[in-house]
Amino acid sequence: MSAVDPIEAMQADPHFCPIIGVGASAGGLEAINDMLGAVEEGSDLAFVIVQHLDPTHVSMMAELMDRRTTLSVRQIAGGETVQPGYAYVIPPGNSLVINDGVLTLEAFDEPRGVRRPIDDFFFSLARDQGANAACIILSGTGSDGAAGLRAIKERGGICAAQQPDTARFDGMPMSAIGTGFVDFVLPPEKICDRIANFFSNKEDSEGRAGSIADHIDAICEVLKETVGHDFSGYKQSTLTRRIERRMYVLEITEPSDYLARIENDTLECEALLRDVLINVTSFFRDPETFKALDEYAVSELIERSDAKRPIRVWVPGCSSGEEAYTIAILFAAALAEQDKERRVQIFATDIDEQMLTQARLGQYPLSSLKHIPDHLRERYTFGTDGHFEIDGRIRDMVHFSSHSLIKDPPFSKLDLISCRNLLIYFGDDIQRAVIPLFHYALRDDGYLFLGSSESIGANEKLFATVDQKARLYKREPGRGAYPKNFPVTRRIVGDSYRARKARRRDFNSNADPDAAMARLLGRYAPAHIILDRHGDILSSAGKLTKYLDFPSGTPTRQLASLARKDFREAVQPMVRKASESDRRQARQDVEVRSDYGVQTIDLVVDPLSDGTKLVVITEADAFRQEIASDISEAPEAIDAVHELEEELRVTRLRLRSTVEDLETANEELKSSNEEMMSMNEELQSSNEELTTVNDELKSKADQLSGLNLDMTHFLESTELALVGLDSDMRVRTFTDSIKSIFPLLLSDRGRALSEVRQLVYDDNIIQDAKAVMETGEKMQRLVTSNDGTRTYSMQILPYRPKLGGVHGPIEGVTLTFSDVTKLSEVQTELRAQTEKLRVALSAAGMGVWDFETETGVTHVDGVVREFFSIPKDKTADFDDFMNAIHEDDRDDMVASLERAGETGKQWKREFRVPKPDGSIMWLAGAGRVLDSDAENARMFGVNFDITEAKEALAARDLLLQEMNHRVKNLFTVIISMLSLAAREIPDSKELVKKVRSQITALAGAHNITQRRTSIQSVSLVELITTLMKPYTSTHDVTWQGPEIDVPTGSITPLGLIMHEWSTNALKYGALSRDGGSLMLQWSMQPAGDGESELVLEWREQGGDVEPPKDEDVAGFGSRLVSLSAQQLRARVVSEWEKSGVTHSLFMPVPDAEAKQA
Amino acid sequence: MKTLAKRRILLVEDEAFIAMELEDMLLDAGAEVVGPVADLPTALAAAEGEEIDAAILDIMLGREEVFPAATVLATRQVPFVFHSAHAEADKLRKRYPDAALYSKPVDTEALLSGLAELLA
Repeated sequence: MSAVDPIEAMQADPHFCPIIGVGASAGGLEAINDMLGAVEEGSDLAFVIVQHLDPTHVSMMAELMDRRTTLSVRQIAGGETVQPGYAYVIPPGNSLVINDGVLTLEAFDEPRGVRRPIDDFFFSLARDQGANAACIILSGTGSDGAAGLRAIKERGGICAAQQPDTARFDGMPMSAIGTGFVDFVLPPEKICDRIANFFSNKEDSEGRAGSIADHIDAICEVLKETVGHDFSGYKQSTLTRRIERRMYVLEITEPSDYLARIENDTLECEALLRDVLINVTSFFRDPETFKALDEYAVSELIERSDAKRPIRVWVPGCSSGEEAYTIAILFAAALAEQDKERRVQIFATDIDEQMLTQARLGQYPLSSLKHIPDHLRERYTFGTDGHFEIDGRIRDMVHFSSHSLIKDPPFSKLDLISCRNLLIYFGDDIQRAVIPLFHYALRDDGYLFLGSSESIGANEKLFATVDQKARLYKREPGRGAYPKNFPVTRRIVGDSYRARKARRRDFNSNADPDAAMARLLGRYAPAHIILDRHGDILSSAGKLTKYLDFPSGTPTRQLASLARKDFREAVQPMVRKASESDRRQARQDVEVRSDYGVQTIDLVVDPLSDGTKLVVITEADAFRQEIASDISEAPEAIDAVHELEEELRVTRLRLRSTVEDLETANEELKSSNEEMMSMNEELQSSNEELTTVNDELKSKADQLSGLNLDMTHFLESTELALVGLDSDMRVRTFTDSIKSIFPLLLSDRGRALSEVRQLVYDDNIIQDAKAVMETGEKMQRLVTSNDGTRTYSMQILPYRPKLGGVHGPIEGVTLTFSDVTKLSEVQTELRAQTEKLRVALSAAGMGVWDFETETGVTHVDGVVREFFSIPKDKTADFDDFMNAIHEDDRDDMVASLERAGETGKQWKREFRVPKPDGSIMWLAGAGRVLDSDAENARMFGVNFDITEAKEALAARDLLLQEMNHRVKNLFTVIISMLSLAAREIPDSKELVKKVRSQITALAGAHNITQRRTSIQSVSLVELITTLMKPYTSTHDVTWQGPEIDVPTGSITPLGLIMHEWSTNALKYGALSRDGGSLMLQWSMQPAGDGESELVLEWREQGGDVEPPKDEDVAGFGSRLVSLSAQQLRARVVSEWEKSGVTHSLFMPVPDAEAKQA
Repeated sequence: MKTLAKRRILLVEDEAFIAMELEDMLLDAGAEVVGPVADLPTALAAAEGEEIDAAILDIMLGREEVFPAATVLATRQVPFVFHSAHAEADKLRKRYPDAALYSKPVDTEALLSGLAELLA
């Protein structure tokens, strides 16, 4: 990994939307949902979510999250380019890197349980996105993410953590907050808003850098006061960027406001401090340079060294210690190779206390491990639960301490100084001063190792270049000059800034206003020393030269070092005792020997409430001048001293062994502790994963619960009677309403349906259900309740649950029952009505048809089929009818149907259907179109047989015609009668008499036709009776003969003939005298050719008869008779005898007529 | 004045009285009467064989219709009139467009003059 110029990193031009890495573990799902749920619609942030997941478990996280936020949530498949408005979720079992905004999944290097996916991703994100990145640490146990967020911060991004009291598991947030690098600590729902503001503030800033520059000095001043470090010599641009970032985080726009803020807020000072100091290092940074170091410096130094003198190395600005450990490893490896034993002392210093604490631990995330070459890794590190540790041997080589390059005096007599990527933070002035300082601190031929963006500048005189690329230099011989203009102010070691500051303030407030007090302490009061807990001198006043001596070498504050022997021997025990008992210690008459004499003093050591100790020295006597060589000690004293020293030595030995025992015990405890912690970590890890799974499951369970509730409501409330069976025909589920079919209780679930009482009458339900299961075809039929009152439509459906949108195999059946009783009743009623109708129609001889106007297809009943001779199986159509109808009626039929179809009016028609036997059947049809606008309108109608009626009509017509004819004829006859009579009979009275009698006879003859049903023939007997009856009362007239019918047309002529004969008989014949008689006789004689002959005999007897004279023969009467006979096609023969005349009439009669009446 | 004098007129009529009257009238007019004929066979024979100038045809002769005889006359181009109680004038006109129909009871004068017209 190459050195990063932090300025460069912070100025990185983001061509992506801000990318925010989110790390979460147990309890994370909740936090993520709350956090993302608060994201506004149309946000241009992008989130990448890394969570600790069980790699064997399919995660539903993306789906669950997607529902709760306006962002689009996707599970990463690999290769996605990060887009604004999206959240990308890591799938289980993978590690994630980002390059150029593209997400790539990778396999884990480390075994499960020691992975730190969040750290790994944050490192990758920091590297890829620089100032465009942000990270958020949410609920979880452990400390994953704490290392990664440093990288994000170093590269210019920001970091937020979930407020621990809002997190289910506060381990991870707390670890993150503990780094001191977290910019925001907030509840999840507030985080995104803050981050969004930060990025938009950043965008909005223009030329703010200038105005910050104006305030930098003041800010540095405040910092100096608060934290004790002077950053005014640091690079301006770096400071500016850091200050700027703090301002964005706090949403302060004016630098003057920020200045005011840090003046009043210590926490903010510390936050700014952390931001300024942030410096991410790694093992073997720029490996080639370390190779060079190893080759040149390390090997040579070892060569040069001897067993007595330790090799001394100084690493200023060591931060979290990776570099120092790297050098230690290099030395250890080289020594091991050369099989030499040398002591190597590495002083690693920094002003960042937190970093030093971490460095001392020697624990690093596994991701850092990659930089260590394998063979070294194996030898000098060991992995434990989620991190690895530097081997104890290496750790012992490095001593970490707090030291400011600027303020504090340097280490000296060094063989190697490795100062990499510290100088870049300093301004030019400091940089210029530091190189000579290093020169001073190094031994002859010592080495200087700088960072890749650093150089010795103008100091070629002081250093020779060994390897320019590696920035490795060798000290030029010559006396080192301690740079005079280097500020060295008082250094305070050990406690936190705040405590120190508080103390300083306290102290200052004591000292400041009171000059008199100062004088008192300085001149009049006894001399005193104030010691801190560690025995360092905090302050002193009064003359102390007799008691203290400043040694050469490293400046120190330790009283023990500074005190003269006698003083030391007296005061040290007292200090110890005072510490132990917390009680004032006093001793009198202590003799303190100095260079020029002895001073007797009274000594008091008084512990103060703040942990410091007051050592008060009161001169008990005057100073006794003596010369050093005059010292003669009483053997006793010497013995006493020796004894004491001996005792001390023994005590020290004992102490050492006790300490060693303790250390060993400690190590063992540590070991057990580590094992337990390891188990704990594993359990935690599993716990985290399980909790995540649990969250998902809970979410699902909630959903399921809801659905279940809905289901229960539905089952209870629906009126649909339903029972679901499984593949063994056992009850699986049912609705309340099924109780009227199967009285099921909840306890019946799992029971076979066959065992349940059945309230409907049907033995085949189970069988059919099984059949449906096999075939997958649904079944439906009607069943009746046992008491017969209700009918149900039962449907059996296969139960085929859908999985992922696809129907699975049949797992059971569902039976539903719908109450169709009403329907059934209606149906029965309908059937009854239909039957009635059919009977009625049948009785009426009516056929019903249903004619589809489009297709011509006609639905017909049996009656219609018979009418039109349509075979039983044939579907009737229009042609069948046309063919059956009489050809003369066809056109008319078509036309009338069309008309009716168009107009929707009633259609009525009479038409003929010729029957196969030759007869004609008359049918009437009537119908109407239903919905004539519809496409396939239908006409419904009836046909019925009107043949009889028609025939009756025809017969009636015929009768009327005949009647008419006859009447006309009769009139004509009468007129003719009149005309003829007028010719013959001049006398009108006689004329009228004659015609009247003729007409009367005719009328009488025609009367008889009234009584007949047939108009074709009349009974001869009736005719004769009617004609002759008038005479019977006065004369002897008889007649006799068989019952014969004669044609009606013969009435007039027969009537006329017999009237003529009667008249003659009355005038001249038998009926004109007494004793005369008339007898008519007739009979039928067969005549062949379908005719018979009627022979009618008119025999007159008695009375004189004279044959008519010739003129009479041709007279009217005989003419009439002869014409009438002609009309009858009859022959008349008249014979006159003495006894009387006999007329014979021979008339042909068709056999059809000649039957009994 | 058109006369029927010396004309031979076939008279087909089955009602005796009507036949008698018509016969007398024809005789009075100076015509010679062929018939009266009262049935179809006789009418046919007369139509075919007799010398006839014109004919008066009753349509219903008993139960038979006179038409076969009418057709014969038409073929012989002997003009005739119908004298009938039947009233199917349209039908007659279709079949015998030249023959007039006199409905019974008829104005005999009109009948005779109509006949005379035919012969003119």
